Amino acid sequence: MAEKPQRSFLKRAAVATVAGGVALSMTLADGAMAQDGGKHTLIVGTSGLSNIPHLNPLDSGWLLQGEINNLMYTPMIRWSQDDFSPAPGIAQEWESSEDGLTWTYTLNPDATWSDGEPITAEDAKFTYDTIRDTPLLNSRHGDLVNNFTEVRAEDDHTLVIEIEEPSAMMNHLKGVSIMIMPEHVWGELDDAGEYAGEAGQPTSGAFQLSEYREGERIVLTANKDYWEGPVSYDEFVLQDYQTPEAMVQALQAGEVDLIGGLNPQQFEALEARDDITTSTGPGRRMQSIGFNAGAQTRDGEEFGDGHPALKDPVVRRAIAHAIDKERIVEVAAGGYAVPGVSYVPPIFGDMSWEPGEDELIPADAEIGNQLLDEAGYDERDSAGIRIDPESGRPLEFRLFYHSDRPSYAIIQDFLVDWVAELDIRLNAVAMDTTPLNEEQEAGNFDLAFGTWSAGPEPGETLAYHTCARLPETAEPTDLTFSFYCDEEYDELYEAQAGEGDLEARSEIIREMQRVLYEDTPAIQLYYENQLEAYNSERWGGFETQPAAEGMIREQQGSFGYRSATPVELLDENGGQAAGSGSDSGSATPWIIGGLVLVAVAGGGFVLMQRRKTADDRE
Amino acid sequence: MSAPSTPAPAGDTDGPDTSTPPAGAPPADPSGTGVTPRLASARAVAWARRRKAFADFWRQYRKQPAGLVGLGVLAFIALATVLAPLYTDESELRAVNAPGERLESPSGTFWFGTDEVGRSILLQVIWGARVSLQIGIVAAVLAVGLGTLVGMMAAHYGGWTSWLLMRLTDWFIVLPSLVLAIALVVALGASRFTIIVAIALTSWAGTARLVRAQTMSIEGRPYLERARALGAGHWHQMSRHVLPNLMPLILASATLQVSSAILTEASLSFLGLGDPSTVSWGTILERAFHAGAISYGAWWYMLPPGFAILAVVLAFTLCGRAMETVLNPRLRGAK
Repeated sequence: MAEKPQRSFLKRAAVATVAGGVALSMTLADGAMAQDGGKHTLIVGTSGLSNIPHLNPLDSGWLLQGEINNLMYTPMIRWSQDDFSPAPGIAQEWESSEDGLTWTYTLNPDATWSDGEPITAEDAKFTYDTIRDTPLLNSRHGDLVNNFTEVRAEDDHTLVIEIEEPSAMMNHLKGVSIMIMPEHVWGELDDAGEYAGEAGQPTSGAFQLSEYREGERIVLTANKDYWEGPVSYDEFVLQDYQTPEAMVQALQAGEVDLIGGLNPQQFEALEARDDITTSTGPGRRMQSIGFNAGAQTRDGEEFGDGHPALKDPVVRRAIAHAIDKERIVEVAAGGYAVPGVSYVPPIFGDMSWEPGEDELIPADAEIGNQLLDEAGYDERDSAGIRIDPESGRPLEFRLFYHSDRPSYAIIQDFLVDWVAELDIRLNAVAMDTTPLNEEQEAGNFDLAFGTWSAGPEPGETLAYHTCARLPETAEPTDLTFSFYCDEEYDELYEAQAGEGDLEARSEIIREMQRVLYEDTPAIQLYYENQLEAYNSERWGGFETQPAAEGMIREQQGSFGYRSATPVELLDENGGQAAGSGSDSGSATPWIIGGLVLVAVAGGGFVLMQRRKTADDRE
Repeated sequence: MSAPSTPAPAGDTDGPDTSTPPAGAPPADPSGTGVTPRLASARAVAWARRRKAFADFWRQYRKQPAGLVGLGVLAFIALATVLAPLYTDESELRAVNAPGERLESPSGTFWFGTDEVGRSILLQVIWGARVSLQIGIVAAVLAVGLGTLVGMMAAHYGGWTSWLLMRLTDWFIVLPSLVLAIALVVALGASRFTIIVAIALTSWAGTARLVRAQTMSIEGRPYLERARALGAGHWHQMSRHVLPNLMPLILASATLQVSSAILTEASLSFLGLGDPSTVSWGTILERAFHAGAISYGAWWYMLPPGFAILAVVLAFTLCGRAMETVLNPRLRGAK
């Protein structure tokens, strides 16, 4: 999850935007040297590489940074491929004492760094100490390490951590968010926070960095004797593209092997081709509408200009009743999404909550109207808009949406009409991402669109609704969602944070989601499916996470990339498919037509970059 | 510039001493074929002259087929745009009321197919014309107005005023206008108004240079010297003598400017800087690009707005060129 550094990232992204445009034409050309001389290179196309400020594995707030980290390092405890439950990484097994305050982790004795040195408990202790003592890293991982009272290496393969308060995080040590660093190299760094990624550094994973061109490409070389078994190819390249559309063209031209982040039209176009295989599965990115549930400081001092009626859960709930999520999924996401419920996407299994029949908020404006009438919102002004009896103001709300997200422009159309059935008026306002975020953080909004990529640790997301996340003074903050604050919810949050037992904890986590669903500080519209495609004439064997119908890219691990296999090495799929000449007839004229129009528009793609910034954080 | 063909200079100064009856009197003989021109009011004389100038202009214009084609296309588009509410249903532009399926190819129901939500592309192109033309024309008028003002002032006052204004103009000519427009829209926030302002601010400089040159040539004519000798002030000289003679040039320049303003608007919208709550040709193209219409092979999503832009820009350019030819005897003579 991105925390404080978010803002500076945005600024850097803006600067990179200007610089990146110039480099565009150059980067596109040099992608296609895949298989020469028997060397296998997996080229993955992506967009938003220029958002990434550096490759410090301990200071990583972007999805792409996480992907690279997962390729280069093995976490202490990973998220299992099947269902994101904690599974062995460098640590083979772990147990806690009766009181839950002493945790013992047994490390895999076979684990080695890519330079041959063994990975020891000393390395782990060094890493946790470094995070604790480096302010930048502490701001990112303090939630885990500041609870440590002592970290000690009993022997080479036994790590013991004493903690102050019982903590559910000890079961996974933040999974892939914290990687263990080699003490014999990192011990010589003056400031671990300033490490920006260096070629040739020893790693604990399947790859090591061999080239990093900022905003353009990242090249990784396979570690031939990776202790968990090397990958079946030699090199991994992450190549940046300015737009998904350019990426699709590159895949069709054979310049890249695997791409993700497609829209339904692109996905279906690629699905129709023989030489390309598509893959889709429920993702973890959700789209939602957040309410301003009353911006206030921890002491209750109100700020911002949100409509007072939105403090009332009844109004928020009534609006939720007006929204037909199924229809939105169908129209705005082409059916490639799952209607949303809570902040934990269903792919996280046990942790995710489903409403029972009596808890469900069905899409029915009738019920919404009834709720409002019963709660006293039964008077209307001359325009037929309901009036808030307390403030006397009509129920007329602003709905902020991002001017650079096409799907939001479609959804807001629906929302305005649906909510009008409640005799509530929504005024949709299109805004650039940056000013929109600023208004939202300052509490100057009523309703606003938003997106969030939840991780397997639900506490990280759910914390955004605790009262503790409200600002101390009336200052803008991005640490809270909706400025929500509820005592019952806070108690549940405390309870789950200290619950060491996975089963018992997931029950509390589900209860928290129920509270949020009922109080409706936000409406989860849908969880987006991951839409991916790869060149199946060259590659196969991709495994997904979750193992059934999951994603290849943007995993919480590197199962997809590690299982990739060149087609010649795949037993069951020996025969190469026939050439791809048959389809050129259909696409080419339109491509040319498109290019002409693009040329008309002046060809400055520079600005496209802006739309990526908000999507790619995690 | 109709001046050379008429003995206008003297008549143009419908000067201080009109010995004719007050404005209320009926014009004796508006046709100008008349018996006693003495009886015609100054206004009537001026109108008669203007009518004649226009008739001359039209006779010359008619000789140019390209100009006529341009005019015809413009008339058709203007009609289609203005009458749009009569033969289409605007509410179908809303995603909620989308009548079709996702990305339907052209058919009898949807002549140009549908977009990713199921809305008719034809409908969007028709309604998009309103926004595109509005922005194009208003921005062009603003730009030409500003350019005329700057150009006239630079020519009339001369000296350091001229120097300053012309350096400013040079500066704006040298700046890449699209980049400047992008910067302006980003700074001011995307809306129809800011796009108009951005386009106007980035495209007035050419007109200023043109107008300055023409103003200097007009001011060198003897009748202006006479006017000055009779005590005409700056305002009188400018508004009564210079501006009327500049008008034809300005009109031609504005016509050409509309083309480039429409193109700039489309470019800005395509780059995602348009007003997302309205449909313009540029925003249709932008949505087509992001909806993956190129990969999908949905040519019907991109070509109609593209051709609409092409048609309008071409039509305005043809008209503008034809007007230039009529107004500039040198161009006419070459033929």
